[in-house]
Amino acid sequence: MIIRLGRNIATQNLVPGQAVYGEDLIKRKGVEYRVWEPRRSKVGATLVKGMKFPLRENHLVLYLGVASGTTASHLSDMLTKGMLFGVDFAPRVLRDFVLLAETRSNLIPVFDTANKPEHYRWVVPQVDFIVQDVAQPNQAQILIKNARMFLKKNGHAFVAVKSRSIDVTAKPGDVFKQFKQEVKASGEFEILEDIRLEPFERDHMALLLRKK
Amino acid sequence: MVQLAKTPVGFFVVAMRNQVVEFEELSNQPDKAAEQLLTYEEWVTRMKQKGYDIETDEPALDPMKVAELIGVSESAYLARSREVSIAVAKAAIKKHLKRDLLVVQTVGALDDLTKTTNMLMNRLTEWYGLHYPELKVEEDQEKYLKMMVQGRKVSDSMGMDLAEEDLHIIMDYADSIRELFRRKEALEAYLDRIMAQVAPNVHVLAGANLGARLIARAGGLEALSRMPGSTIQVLGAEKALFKHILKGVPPPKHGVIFQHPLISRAPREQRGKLARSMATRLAIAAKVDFYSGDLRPSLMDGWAERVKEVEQGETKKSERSENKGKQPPFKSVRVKRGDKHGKK
Ligand SMILES: C[S@@+](CC[C@H](N)C(=O)[O-])C[C@H]1O[C@@H](n2cnc3c(N)ncnc32)[C@H](O)[C@@H]1O
Repeated sequence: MIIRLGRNIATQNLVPGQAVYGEDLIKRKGVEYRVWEPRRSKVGATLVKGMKFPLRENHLVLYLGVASGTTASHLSDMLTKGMLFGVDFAPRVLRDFVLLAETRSNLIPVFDTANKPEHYRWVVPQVDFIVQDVAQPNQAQILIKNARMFLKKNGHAFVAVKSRSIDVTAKPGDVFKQFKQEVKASGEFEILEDIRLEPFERDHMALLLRKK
Repeated sequence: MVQLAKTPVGFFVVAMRNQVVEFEELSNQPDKAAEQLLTYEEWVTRMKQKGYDIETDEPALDPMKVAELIGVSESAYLARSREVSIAVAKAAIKKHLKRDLLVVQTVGALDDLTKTTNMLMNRLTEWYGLHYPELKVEEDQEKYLKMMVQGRKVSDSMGMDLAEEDLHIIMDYADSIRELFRRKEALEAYLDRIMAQVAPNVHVLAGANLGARLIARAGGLEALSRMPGSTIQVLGAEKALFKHILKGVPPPKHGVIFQHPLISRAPREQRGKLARSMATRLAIAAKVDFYSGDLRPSLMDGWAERVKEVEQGETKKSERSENKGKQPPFKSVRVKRGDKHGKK
């Protein structure tokens, strides 16, 4: 699903000829790949740094904070038999994601706040994977609420944490420690991996979780 | 006891052992289905009237599993979800993106009209003043126009006599100004209506005109919703803010928010603190308006207490340390310290 090309990683383009955010398209043995820019995507950054990302082609994914779909477009390349529900509450960025979803048959836009998972219960089923990148002070609680409602047992969650969005004044290390404690205390998750995103992002951490 | 499910396929009442006892199918045209989804609450009411004992109004069941109960496969469910969600998202975004931009334009048009009528009125009073210098505008320009049309001039006026033709041309000119005043009234009423839709909480707190100005200054409701109170407090004082940063003069205490009747009518020394409290409330109001649109009357809770506190604080001020409570909304950035007492 993901190939390595020297220092880069790339995904096989689900819609040949389409570049989503200005990334390079390259051909190998007649197959077109989209280069995954680690500076534009936190999932991309963790993959380049070698974190596991146990996404399967047939997974159902709930993406909180999908924005215009930079990262989601690569997950869409990977989900050849799956589906991704992308939630964002900002109309301007979600507008771009709707346009992207119209070109890719495995993307579903949800215009709502991730704070209110009951708002999109009408369409989102139980999922195998949650990706969260919302940069909000209460993002641990957002994650927990959504996982309780939507994540299957043993399903995975990938979470990007930006220290400054949670507490501008505290030391990133402390913010991350506190975040992990909050996630553990919920009793919902086991923490499989954590990783800092330097040099691609400053004061960011990514976590890979598994639902108990 | 039954459970409800709202899904992209339709609305369900599900009884024990996964028995579907009611199913209201949605159109298979995505746009229609998106509209029908909005009628869910009415459908719930109908089901209650039918006598179902419903566990909770909130749809609690997994929609894909429920659809499976009537034979909709997983892949069919997902394909359908995608079409309907795209239609729902498009409709919602369309609603969201457009209306606040109308507010921005309307308030801009009102400002243009005010500037224009002021300019035209200046000319008119000078012009008509040749004929009737004793008629004064006072503050009410519209009244001036009315009296002018009535045309009753005091008998001992010092003004010059005008021929029919001269008067006629002036009256026509005045008529076009009156038309602009009517246009202004219509815009104000319209602004009031759309503000109540686009930003109901900001509307209640700040009024249509000031609320619209804040949205316009911020560059839209979304932008305003991202601003902290300290920024909202100085919106419209950008020039003063630049001066403060470049020249080290004291930072501005308040921008357009100063026009708020609860603030502009307060004693001068209290306005800064009241503006800050109002700006904090407006920051929350804008967020609620942008993200949910529900009306939250509680946003003005505690205002009266705050006003009292500020009043009492003022009388006790001499007992307190100089700077406390007097601080500007952000840190002072003085470039040259020596300038501190320079301007007197
Ligand atoms: C850092 S960006 C995400 C970038 C994206 N994940 C990517 O890699 O392409 C954060 C996004 O989260 C969204 N967001 C923040 N809080 C949210 C909430 N409560 N509900 C939904 N979206 C939210 C913002 O609108 C923004 O688009």
